[in-house]
Amino acid sequence: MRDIEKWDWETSEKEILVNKWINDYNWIEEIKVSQDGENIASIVSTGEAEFGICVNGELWDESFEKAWSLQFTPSQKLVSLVSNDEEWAVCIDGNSWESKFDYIWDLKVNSKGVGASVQVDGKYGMVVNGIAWGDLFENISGTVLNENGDSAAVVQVDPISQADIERYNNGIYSVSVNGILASEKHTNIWDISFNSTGSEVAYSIRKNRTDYSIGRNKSIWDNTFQCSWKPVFTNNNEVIAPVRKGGKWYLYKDDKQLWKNNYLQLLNLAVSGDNISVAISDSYGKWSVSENDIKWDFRCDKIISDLFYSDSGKTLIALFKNNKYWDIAVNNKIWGLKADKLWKPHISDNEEIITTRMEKDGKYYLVVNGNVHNEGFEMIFEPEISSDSSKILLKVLDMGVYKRKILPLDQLL
Amino acid sequence: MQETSTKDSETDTKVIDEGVEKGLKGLTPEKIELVINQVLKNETGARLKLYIDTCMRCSLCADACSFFLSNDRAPEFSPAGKVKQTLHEMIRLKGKVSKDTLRNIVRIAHTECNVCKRCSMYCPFGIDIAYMILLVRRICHKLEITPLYIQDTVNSHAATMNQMWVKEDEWIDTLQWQEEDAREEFENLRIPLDKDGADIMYSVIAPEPKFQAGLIYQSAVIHHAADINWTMPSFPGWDNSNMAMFTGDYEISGRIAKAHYEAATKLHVKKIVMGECGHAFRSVFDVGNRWMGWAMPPVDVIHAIEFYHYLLTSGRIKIKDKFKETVTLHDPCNISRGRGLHDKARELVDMLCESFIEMTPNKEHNYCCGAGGGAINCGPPWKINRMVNNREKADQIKRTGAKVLIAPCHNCHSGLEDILHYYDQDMEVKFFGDLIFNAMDKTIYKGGE
Ligand code: SF4
Ligand code: SF4
Repeated sequence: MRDIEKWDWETSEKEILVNKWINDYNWIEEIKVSQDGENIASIVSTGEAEFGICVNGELWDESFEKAWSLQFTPSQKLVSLVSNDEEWAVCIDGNSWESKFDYIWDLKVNSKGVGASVQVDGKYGMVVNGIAWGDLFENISGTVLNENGDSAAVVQVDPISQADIERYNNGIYSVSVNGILASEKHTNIWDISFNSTGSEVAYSIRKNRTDYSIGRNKSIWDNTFQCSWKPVFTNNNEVIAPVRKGGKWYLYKDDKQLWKNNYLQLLNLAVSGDNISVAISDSYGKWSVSENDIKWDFRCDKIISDLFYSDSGKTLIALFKNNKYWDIAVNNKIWGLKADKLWKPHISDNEEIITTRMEKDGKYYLVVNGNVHNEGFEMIFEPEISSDSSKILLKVLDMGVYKRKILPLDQLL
Repeated sequence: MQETSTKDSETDTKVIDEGVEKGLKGLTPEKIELVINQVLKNETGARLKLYIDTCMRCSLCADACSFFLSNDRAPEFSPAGKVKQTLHEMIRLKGKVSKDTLRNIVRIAHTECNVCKRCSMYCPFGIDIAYMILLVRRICHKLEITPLYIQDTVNSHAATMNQMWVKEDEWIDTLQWQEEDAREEFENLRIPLDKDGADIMYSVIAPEPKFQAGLIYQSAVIHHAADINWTMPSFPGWDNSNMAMFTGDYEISGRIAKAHYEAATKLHVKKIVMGECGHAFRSVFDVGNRWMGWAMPPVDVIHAIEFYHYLLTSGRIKIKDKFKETVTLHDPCNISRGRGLHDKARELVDMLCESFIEMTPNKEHNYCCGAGGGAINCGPPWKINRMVNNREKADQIKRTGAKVLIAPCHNCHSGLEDILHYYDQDMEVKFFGDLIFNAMDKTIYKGGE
């Protein structure tokens, strides 16, 4: 759980000397920072083919032959994929899971725990909070871990010999939910979504070489399409998906056309309550957002990479690239950042503050409500907003020193 | 007199391809007619009409095609001749095409044209023959009569987002293994996986982890020595290749390009650097992105030639010993005719090699390697035909007298090795990466030097 109110919002600045680590170890890898900013960690080289996890300057007791995919969970736990004696495990805060695997990857963390893809004796599945699926499969892709701790993936159910295109056409892929087959077999399956309770799944399928549709649990829509993208559940448990017909993209809900207009492309479907938004292309190479089938005025020529609603659904944010630069549009209003790199922003509980970080000419900057803070740093990690929306927690690397700063918003804006 | 390679054999028009035969078996005359007419009606427009109406059968394009030259100038191998036997036939018969004719059409469209676009440069009207041949392949795809091996490759793309059935753990394991091995060169070398906010995402094609992992090793050494802030994705989207673009499966082709660019945006990189592959560049820069509606690449993308050129001219990589043997250079269609990188390639050769001899014709006029456009991916049933159809290419290479042939493209590399072997030519094929790895000063670049 993100216990944001219990974090230290009073101490104006704390420091950890990262550059000292560089002398202590052969090398250090990327610095990872916990959401509360109190802990920083890195995989460090402690000897030939020997790695440790260094947290605030202290090493975990155990060392590893290999370690990767280090990350903090929302509850400030530190997780890594680690290997010794050719066995792989998940290690959390220095304690490795008892379950070991021939390989483990695709680490996913959320408030309900930790999940990953695993391979044992050439068979594939998922592990969630230390417990692996009972049944393993020929292959796995497109894994999902929802906020209830349910896991799902596209699994290859039947083996296939080289160039057996007939068997492939007949369908060897299925959806597995928590290790149990949850769909029919299809030629291809992609992009699984859970509903809000985790009781249902929707996904995109290819029925044969040319016909696409949308699957929901063990059934599929009657309509077939030229292509389809990731479906999403609404709060009312309906399924919405972008689908292609006659060379144009349409939005469909429960197998029926939803929006009147069609588009050259529909991507990044976002749903909140009754509101539905999609990144659209309405003329070749031009991108915008359509909310409830009404287009925003803004256009960009490269890409809209993220489109999402605030929890209340009142704020809709698009992260986009126009010409050479990245920028953000909030409810149809462009910030005008001209960033070289830009991350997805956070929205305060009262929805008045939106903050993120960007890179410009090699320096990293804090951005609040479209204003770029004038101080540039070697690196900025994800900024946070206090629950009363009065302060920003800024986490930076500055000349080899990690700094955790609390900035009152009235001084920033 | 022009020297000619000695292997002579005729193109076998009776090759049996299991994928094609199975597909044909399932077809009815009604389905054939329906699919052909649907594609012609719904997926073409003024462009096709213009080409059809404009071509005056002048044959000026014929000598441009290496298939025509390799087959003793047989008219059926001329560009316009190939369109006449395929697309024109479908239009003339209003879709009522027999299975025997379809079999012929698949062979021509998939194995007797590399969609290399050389002929378009010689047509007084710039008629794009490759576009029309790809349209024929699109119809073959919809009729499910695509040759077996390239269809299997597309199946792999669709299921795994890479072209060689590389499983997700195999990909990461290979990178970690190459990283470990490359620590022979630099003890602190890394192949940084999923490094959020790296400047560069380096992408490769699936044969690298599958068969040529040493190329990833070399590349890691080059990136490390040049002190590049780079990353490779541990998740699908790492493979930049795209055979679906060549079978007319544009839906899968678009999905592949989407995965590639989404990997780059997820990692917040500024730029994608692609390994030495030509068709992959065409997919990412020109074809897959455009099907998605991205008129230009949504994230900047450069081919390895441009990257290496930057590394060498900026001093990030210093060359210790130039390569001594005489080299020649094959300009891959998709990055020369398709992107104009031939001059940069020559500057690279100049920085890396002591002695260079041009192949003739060259640059944007170079002949295709014969493997491109998906031809090599049609697999073993078609290999001898591919060799026969490449006699002109073999002669072109032989005339250089060089012992080393640089081919900055995977398809070209494999295709040229096949030709050299078939025509008993003693020549080694190399990537630029091979030359740089061997010639570079293996010290780490420090800014300001
Ligand atoms: S595109 Fe290339 S291979 Fe095809 S007809 Fe033209 S020159 Fe020949
Ligand atoms: S050169 Fe152009 S007009 Fe002449 S035959 Fe070839 S495609 Fe037709």
